[in-house]
Amino acid sequence: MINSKLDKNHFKGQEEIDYWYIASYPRSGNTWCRILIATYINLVKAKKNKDEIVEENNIQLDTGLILSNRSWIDDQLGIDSSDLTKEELDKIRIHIGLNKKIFDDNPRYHKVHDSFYKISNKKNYLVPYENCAGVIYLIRHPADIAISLSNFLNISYTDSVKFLVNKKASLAGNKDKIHKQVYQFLGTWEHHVKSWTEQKKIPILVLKYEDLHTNPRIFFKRILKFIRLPIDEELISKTMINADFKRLKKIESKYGFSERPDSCNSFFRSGILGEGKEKLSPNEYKNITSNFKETLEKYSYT
Amino acid sequence: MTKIYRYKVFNLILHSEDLEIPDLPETKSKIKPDVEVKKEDSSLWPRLQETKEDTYFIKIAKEEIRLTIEGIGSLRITNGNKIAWDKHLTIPNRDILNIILGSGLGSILIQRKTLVFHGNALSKNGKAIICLGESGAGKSTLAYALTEIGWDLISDDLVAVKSNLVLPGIPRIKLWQDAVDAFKLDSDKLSRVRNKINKYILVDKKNYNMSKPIKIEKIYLLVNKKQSKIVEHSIDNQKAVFIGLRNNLFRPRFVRGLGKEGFTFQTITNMQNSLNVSILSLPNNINVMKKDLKKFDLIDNS
Repeated sequence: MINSKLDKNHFKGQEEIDYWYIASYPRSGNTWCRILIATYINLVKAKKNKDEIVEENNIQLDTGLILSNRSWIDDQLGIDSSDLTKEELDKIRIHIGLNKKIFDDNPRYHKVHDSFYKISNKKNYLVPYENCAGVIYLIRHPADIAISLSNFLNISYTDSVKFLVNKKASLAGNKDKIHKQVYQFLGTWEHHVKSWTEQKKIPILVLKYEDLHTNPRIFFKRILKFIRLPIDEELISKTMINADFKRLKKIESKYGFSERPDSCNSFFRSGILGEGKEKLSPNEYKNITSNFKETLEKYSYT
Repeated sequence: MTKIYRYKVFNLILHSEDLEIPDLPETKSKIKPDVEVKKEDSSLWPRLQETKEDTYFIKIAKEEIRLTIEGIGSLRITNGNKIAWDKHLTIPNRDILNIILGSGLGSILIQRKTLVFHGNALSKNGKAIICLGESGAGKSTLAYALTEIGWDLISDDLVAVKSNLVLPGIPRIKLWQDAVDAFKLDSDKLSRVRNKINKYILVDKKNYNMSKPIKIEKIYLLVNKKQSKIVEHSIDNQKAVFIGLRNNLFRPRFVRGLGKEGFTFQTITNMQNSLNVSILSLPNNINVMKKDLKKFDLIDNS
């Protein structure tokens, strides 16, 4: 699904396009998608340089930082972002990462969990969009997210469901401590999906995690086409092997994974589809499906 | 009539016009200041040509750093001897002081060819350690715990190093609410870094060593792990030491923009050859850490 209703001037100055977003509600396959892209780009580079392709034990993730990374923001601010209030920081985040001169070495593919919304002054968006080449937005069934989120945040299934339907849900929102990332407003799962899929500022490719999981080859090709990378069948096959879920899990248990938060023991879990329906109580499952009926139907989740 | 406040910090005499800086040690010395801090009208500052290291918030020219945070204020730091500041009308002095004491003084030191790390330094029996690590690694918490068991604070936030000596810096520790609570301190009796931010300033000049530079015995790179005790791993690989130190430089963008990268890397290389650098993993639980620190010799644990 590619959004064609964009602002007229979006591609003005296209030669400056240099960054992409991979956006999603947390635990929707965002990291896996970045690993696929990073692995493929490395393989393309290796083939171009005629390097020997060796099986590496590290997980490729060198695509660009999460948009909410505090060190990245501080570097561009010149002061500590932790000395700013949430409101002050919200106002200026739209200017972060836009300086072409700083980041012209490689294209960037930033992970984003913030929802796409206007800050309290209702005038400006929070997420920078000027010259953004496009966003891959990943959707996953919220009941499955609830199970994964429970492991990720170390909370019960009940609290996980409450989080998904909470209109004020956020990440890094505890004001009593410092977080490696800055505050990110999510809202409900449905709000998050709508905020990105209905925006008209950035070209968008909407993908269901379930499709990428079931037919990775087909849907990864769609991603490559969208982000304008060459299609190389041999390298796609190698990418599928290197970024296979079971392999990533094995590497993580042996060598660890840099993006695993302290709250969970392993970042890569099962990735199994339909886990939510199995593990949540009937009431919890109903709470999700009745709250998000409209969006679930729109994306053919039955 | 202009009032001059006189301070000594990082071995520099600093005079501040009409702006009291309670965080800094006062001096009665009447000698010509090394650094002047004064208010100016930022609209009169000359325009700067754009450079590669500029961001929306930072402008860098030869021997000049300019910072502007909308709604708060601006700083212009020139020639290693002047910090000019301007602030938004509604912003209290405390808010601009934070920026002066952090990026302002940091820029002065970089301009004066001093190696500056983001971390803190403490001493015991005339020997100093430096603790480095990203925001949230536990630097300030460790520093406060050490001052409670007889260590002297040399510097917090900015650590200035010259010839393997650490210079006496700003005698205060900043602690977030979660650490304040864990140390059972009464936050109502502490000053906040800024209104609405749950980070507090702890000034304890009796535990502050400001007499002279102190020889560095050891450098620790802090990581916060879910574990039951303090664990030290010494780093023998010279490349890893170099990367560890480089990654903890204070505002590397300023270093690059001011053309001090060559000097900085040479100084780090000299340091790595003569200093002992270790990774220090801290337990999450502050009480466990406090108990462990009593039997853990941070100066000589070999």
